[in-house]
Amino acid sequence: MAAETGTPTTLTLKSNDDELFSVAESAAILSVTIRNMVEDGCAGGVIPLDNVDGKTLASVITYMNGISAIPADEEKKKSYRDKFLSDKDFETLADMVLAANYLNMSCLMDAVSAKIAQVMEKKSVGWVRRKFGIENDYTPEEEAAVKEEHKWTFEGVETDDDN
Amino acid sequence: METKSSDSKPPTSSDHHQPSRITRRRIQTPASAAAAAAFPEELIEEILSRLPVNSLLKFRSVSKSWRALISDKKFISAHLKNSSKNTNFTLRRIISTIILPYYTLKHCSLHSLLSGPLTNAVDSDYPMKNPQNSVRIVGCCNGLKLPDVDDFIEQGLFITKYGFGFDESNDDYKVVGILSGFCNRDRYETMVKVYSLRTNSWKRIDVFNDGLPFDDTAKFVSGKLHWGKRNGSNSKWDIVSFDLASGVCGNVARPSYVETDFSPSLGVLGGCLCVLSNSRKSSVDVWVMKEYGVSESWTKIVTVPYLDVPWEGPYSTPLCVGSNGEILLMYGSNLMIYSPRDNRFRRPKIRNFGAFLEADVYCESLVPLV
Repeated sequence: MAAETGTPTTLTLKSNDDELFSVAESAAILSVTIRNMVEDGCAGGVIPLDNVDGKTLASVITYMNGISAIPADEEKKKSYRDKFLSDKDFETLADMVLAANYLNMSCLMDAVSAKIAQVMEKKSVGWVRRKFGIENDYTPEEEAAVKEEHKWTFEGVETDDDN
Repeated sequence: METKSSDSKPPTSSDHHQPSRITRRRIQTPASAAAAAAFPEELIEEILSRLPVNSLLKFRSVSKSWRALISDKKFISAHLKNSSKNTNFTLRRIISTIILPYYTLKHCSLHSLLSGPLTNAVDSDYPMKNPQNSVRIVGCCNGLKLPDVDDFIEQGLFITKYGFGFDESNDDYKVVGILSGFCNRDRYETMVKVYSLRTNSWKRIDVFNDGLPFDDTAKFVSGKLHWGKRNGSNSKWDIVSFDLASGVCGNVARPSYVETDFSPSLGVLGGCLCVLSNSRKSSVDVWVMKEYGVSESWTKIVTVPYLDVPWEGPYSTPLCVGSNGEILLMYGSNLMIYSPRDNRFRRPKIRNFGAFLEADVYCESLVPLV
């Protein structure tokens, strides 16, 4: 799709639950996955993104538009990212990190991974198991022994509110 | 498996860039992609490598596979790399040798020191802790602190100058010690020895025959130790380096500024070699070698004026520069933060701290010594 002078090229993205979104190519190619499709000439029609649902894709596109509207100023970009992620809950962040990984967007990956780390830092072991869906494969004795090795790290753990 | 409601949140007022939805053909509530089982291991790694050390030690209890990951050598080095890159200093700490009432090592958070109202210092736990022993910090490298207790007295020789660093190619921690003393009754001798943690032995090396460095502790940058050294009898000075892997000595180009009577001091800022040069007590200039080994990359980043308090100071080792340009320096046996933007000074408030001999910045890590 060759762009006329001054007319920005628009891409159409389709989520795995069949929502369609239009987004400026200049913003969408923040995703290396999409950029490769554009370069290979596969972006003519609708680009199907099989691993991202509509709600998450809407969020990712908001980010793409927001960050590409900021000129090359790392400090401003960083504060946009901080603000963008500030009110997201764990589930939303988890969806976003998976989407960023699939779309190959390193700046979003870095920011969301750091945000998830910040959210979980003071949480309990039980909270982490629930949120990450991890089965406890320790016997009670083994778990007690592992905890005993670094008892001090269990000071100041937040009580679970499941946020 | 967790599922979540598909209700989209109403857009917040801060979202100026709402995506344009063309159609809304929701079929059914999709199962959340975040369903835990969908987390590939590389994403778990990506997230965990950004956690502080005490959270990681706590999360070893999550499961056997998490414990294995957190103890994995590759993970530990990825974690260290992330911590070193982190620019708001949340994963950095300051360690210093407190001299009163007796020698102790204490550490505190660098982030809190720069941006908090009050910082708590914590006593360091280290081997051979004993009020009778004096302890010095010889350098920080890969988050490891090697407190060198003056037990290293060999045949009447005292280690007077030190250097500590990591030899990456041999995966070994090394200490360079310059030993001086009257070893054969009345002959004053000086020798240089390298200690390797891997072989657990000292080896004499043939360097610095033309004079010793004036810095007590070396600065570790780019696999090499660095000291300042006078060049012969004149007041010119050089930066000498010692490559821990090859054992070869060399010179590093120094910043070109007008020579002053005061000895400059070397430091490390953000992984770069830096030089602090005193100009006759009125101010100090901080120079940073932005690209290691490239003499043109020496840049004067800030000039810090002296306060009009003659008995305080002088400035020595610069410890870090914040994102807003604030610089943290040692000021006599205290700390001082100078903000070049508004030309203001402040003294960080630290509880459980005191006058100290030296201070260094380090990154917490999970790296085991052996």
